[in-house]
Amino acid sequence: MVQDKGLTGDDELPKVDPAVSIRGVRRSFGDIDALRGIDLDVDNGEFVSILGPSGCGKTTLLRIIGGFEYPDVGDLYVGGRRMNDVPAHRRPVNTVFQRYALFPHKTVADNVGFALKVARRGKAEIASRVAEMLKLVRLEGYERRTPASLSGGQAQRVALARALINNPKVLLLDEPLAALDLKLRQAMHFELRRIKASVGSTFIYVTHDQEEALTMSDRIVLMNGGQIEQVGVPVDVYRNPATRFVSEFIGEVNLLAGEVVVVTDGPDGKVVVGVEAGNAKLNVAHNVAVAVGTRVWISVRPEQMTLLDPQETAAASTNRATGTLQSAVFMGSFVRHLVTILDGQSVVVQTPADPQFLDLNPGVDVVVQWPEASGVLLCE
Amino acid sequence: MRRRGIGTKVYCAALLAFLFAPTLTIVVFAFESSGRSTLPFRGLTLDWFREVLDDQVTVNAFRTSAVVGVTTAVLAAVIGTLAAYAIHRYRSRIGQVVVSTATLPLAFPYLVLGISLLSMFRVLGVTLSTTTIVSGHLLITLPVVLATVNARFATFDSAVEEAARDLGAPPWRTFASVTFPLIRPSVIGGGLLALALSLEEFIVTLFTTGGESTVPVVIWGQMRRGVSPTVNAISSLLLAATVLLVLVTRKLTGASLSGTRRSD
Amino acid sequence: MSTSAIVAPDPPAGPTGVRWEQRVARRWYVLRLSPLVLFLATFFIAPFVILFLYSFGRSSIVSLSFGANGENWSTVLTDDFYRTLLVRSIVTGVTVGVASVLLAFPFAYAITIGPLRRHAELCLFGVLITLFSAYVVRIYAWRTLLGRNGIINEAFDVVGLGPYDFLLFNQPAVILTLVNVLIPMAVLPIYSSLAQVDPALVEAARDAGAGSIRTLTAVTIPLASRGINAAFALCFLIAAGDYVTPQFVGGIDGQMLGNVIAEQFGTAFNWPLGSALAFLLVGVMAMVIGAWLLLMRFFGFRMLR
Repeated sequence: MVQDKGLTGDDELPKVDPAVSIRGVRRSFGDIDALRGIDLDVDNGEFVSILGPSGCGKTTLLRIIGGFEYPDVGDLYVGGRRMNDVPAHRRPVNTVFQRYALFPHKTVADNVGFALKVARRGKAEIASRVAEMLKLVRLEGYERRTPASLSGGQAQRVALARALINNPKVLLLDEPLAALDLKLRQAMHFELRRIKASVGSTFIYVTHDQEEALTMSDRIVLMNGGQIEQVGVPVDVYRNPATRFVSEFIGEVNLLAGEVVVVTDGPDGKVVVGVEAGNAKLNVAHNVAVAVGTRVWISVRPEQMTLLDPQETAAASTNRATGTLQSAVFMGSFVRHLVTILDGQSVVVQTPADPQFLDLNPGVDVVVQWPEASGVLLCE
Repeated sequence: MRRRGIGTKVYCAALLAFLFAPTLTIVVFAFESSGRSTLPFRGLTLDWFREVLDDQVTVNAFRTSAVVGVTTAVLAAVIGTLAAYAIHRYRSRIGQVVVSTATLPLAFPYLVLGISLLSMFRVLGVTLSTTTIVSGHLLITLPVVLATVNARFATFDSAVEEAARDLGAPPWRTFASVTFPLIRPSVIGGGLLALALSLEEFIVTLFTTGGESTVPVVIWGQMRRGVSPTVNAISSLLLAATVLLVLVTRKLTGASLSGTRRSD
Repeated sequence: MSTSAIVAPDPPAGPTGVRWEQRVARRWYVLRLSPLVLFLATFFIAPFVILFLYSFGRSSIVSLSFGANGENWSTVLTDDFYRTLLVRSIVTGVTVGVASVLLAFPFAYAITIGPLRRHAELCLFGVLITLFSAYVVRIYAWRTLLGRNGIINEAFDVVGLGPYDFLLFNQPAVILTLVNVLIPMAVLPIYSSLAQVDPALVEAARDAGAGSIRTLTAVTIPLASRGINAAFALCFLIAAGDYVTPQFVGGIDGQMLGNVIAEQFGTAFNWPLGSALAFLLVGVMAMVIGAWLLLMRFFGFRMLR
């Protein structure tokens, strides 16, 4: 059950060739299926993140695009050209490796200029391009330094400069910030977007850090177990997760288990699905009808929920569930409450740090409420 | 605990003394003026060395040893490095078999290696010459080069090779610009060890040598005729050469024998 | 927000990237490996085959020929003369092997786990230098040292003893020389495997109450058994097959099978016989190694109890 795989059009290739097109790619390593049929289009100039847990196949996919692995089955197109039989050194694709892989026996300038040297450009041209690149990554004057003398962040930027000097159509980044500390990583998020804007290449970025993906990407591709689960813009992926995996992987989420009991028509051509979860009846808006009796999950983000006094009346089009407050943690600008509802399920409710939420003591009865439109129905 | 420490240290010192004693005496007596290779020590002289360097046969032998040694070292380095690189880039069980086979000659007495080569050369009608000597030396030096270079590749991070290919370098260029510079110390180290082994090699050489002799063969020949002070001198020169090679190799490979490596 | 499943299109017909890189990689692989393979086939495998074939051949004063002659083998296997030499060679080899390992082990132990840990570099370097000191030279040195006029006898002379002739030209002289030459050969593999022994294991054994000797036999030696076996094998093989040492310091009593083999390819010009002898020696040596390995494993089981 996959949404919007990011394919533009039907099965034909679109008029303006996407930067990268992947069709039906599968790859196994012995008994392990790393990729089970991947289809994806990446448009020119996009910043696409491939997000997923370890072992989901994202690195394998990246390596296939780069030419370090080949698919067992399927096709790869870069800029409309079929790349299956094209070796890595002839692809218009460059990579920033996870551990930088700088040439330890060459200076920074020789590292950065390597691609041009291989392409037999003139010395003067190489020197000026190298200077340009180092300026771009804010490492002016570092030409003569050696990789061993660089800090993690600096090495990272040299690797970036080295990969960009050839103006590749596509830049692949394999969890490049994984080895950096938090502050540096966050700074690099902005740097990467700035550099990309300056260079104009398509960036394909692999990471397991959902915050990173949300911060930097034009679109996010979520992968799990060798398959793409969802492709979409960050807001969309966050607000409308297509599967349980996606909803749990991105941000924090509450998942309420239940069974469909009734389906009625709602506004805007959507339907309202009535779900019985525990002792409560919950409604959730959905695009298509679902069979009665299906076991489903309702996914709601903690900040979409709020807490009410049991005496307060319900607003229209909202779901309510009574429960007991287990704990409340003050987090500065908001409060996180842990509430047990629906005979046993726990939910996290995030409310602003307003007075009425600060006084609540554990053990008190509360009502958890959220708008019907906020929930997302997920079938298993 | 401290007492036991001393006992062990004394033992090790004694063992090293035992190992060094014979060769040290030779070197010492190479400078001794009476030429009797026995105590008492009469006086210092360089006469024996002069005699050695005047003797045409000996000088030729030094040249032959050098030619054979360098040829062996270069060939062993090239063949061995190519094979080690092949295995580094593509894992296959055949590779392991080949490496084991290459190491197998060391499990046989050099005598047997020598006579087997001699047999083949006779059957094929090949006249013995420096080439045949080199072939024998290669048998025993290839394992050394393979071991040295393989050990280097074991700690080699292939990510830099991928990076080079990613940036547009075809396989040959990747090897020349990235891989080889990084393994070069080990290749040279292996080559120098091969040279040292070749210089002192003697048994296989005896069976594969034609008219020319190498230095160890000359020493052997002179030994058969009795004790002579020039033998001390020749031996010292040979020792100096091999010790020097070992020193240089250690410096180059940067690896300490105890296994710690200089970082990439 | 549709939830319709999108089926991946059928895989396209025609060649894809399937194992293409494997084919290219394999081609390079074969190319790079072939010099070594060719060399081994030509200068290692082929000579051995030819040598083996010779053992079924005949020789006369002027010629050698191949054939299906089993005489050499029957001579070799039944003649007392050769059997004595074979036994002497094997015994020498085993003695040298055991002695070398026994003498090398404490040294290797001292520089890995023992008190000389910090000087491991230096000590190993010393050993390595002696290893590369030419073999011929060292035999020559011992002949000089042990001789009637050699240093050792001179030293005895000073205190009024000697000179002793029994120092040279016999089997013990051969063994002594070989041990001196081969201890460095034994040190390296033993050192190598001792260096891989986790000192924490030795500590643990001590903590558990094992005395030094018991720790050694129950923990250290079994863990280093690979190196010890390799050391023994190496020393034994070289010693049992040696002929130069017996030639110079062995005298008549010290002659070994190697001398006879060398003769067949030299003055005696009976290559077929020499070949048969050589393979006999190699075969028996292999059996001895096998026996050693079995023995070590047997001891290993007993010690682990």
